[in-house]
Amino acid sequence: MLLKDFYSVESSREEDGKCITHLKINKNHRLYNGHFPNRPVTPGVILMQLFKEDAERRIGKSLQLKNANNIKFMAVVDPEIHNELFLEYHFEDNSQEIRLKGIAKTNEGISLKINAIYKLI
Amino acid sequence: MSMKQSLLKEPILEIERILELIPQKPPFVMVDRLLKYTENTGKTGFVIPMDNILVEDGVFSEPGLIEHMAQSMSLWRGYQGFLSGLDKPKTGFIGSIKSVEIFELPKAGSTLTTNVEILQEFKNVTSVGARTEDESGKLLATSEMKTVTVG
Repeated sequence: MLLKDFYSVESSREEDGKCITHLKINKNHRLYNGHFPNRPVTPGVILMQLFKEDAERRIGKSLQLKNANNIKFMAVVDPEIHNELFLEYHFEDNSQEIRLKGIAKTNEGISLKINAIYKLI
Repeated sequence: MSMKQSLLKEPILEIERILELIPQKPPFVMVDRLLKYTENTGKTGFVIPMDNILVEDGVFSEPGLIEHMAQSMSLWRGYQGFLSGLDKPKTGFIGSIKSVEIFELPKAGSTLTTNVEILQEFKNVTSVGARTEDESGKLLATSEMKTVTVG
């Protein structure tokens, strides 16, 4: 995990090939001191990282982001309001790369859409 | 005079001054110098601290590199605001990433140099292209993203 104590995995399952993971974000994490002072916003790059780490846990291997396209941050993730996050995604593993496509949701709707390719390292 | 001529008399290397130009604050600061500024381009740099929050096992992570590219844009924007008389930077964040490619992750302690180019501006949304190199000139990452300023 890149950020220590940033989140906990509440549940993780798979339904018809779709990975569904429920995460709880630590709204008191020190990153929010800087992003931004008096206005905590979960950085988009950190939301992206959640998918990589979740896929790593599922396959038991390390990944490195190679490229990503058309990532859309649809709504601000304010940790004071949206500390529950749900990742929903599919991935294909061709033994050299992982292709992942998915969304992150809060209780208020979709906050992120992601398409990414990771290499196995 | 060329439009591409830097409007900076000299590089801004003092972190205190950089922190006045970007909305991000420690421990989430991923840029530490402004080397060039023109009307639609900028050149920034970052010496990756060993204890940076986005360093893992001595390597600057993918979120670190992407955030560095976004904050390079933020710094360009902040200097533009300074030139137009703003006393503090506007808050802004990534709205979308059209594409990002990561070729190699740099080690903590190394120096990044990033060229940003403003591709389009419409209201509070700016499209920007960024290219990040290490000190030997090796290309580490490129991206094209839209940032949103919220004042």
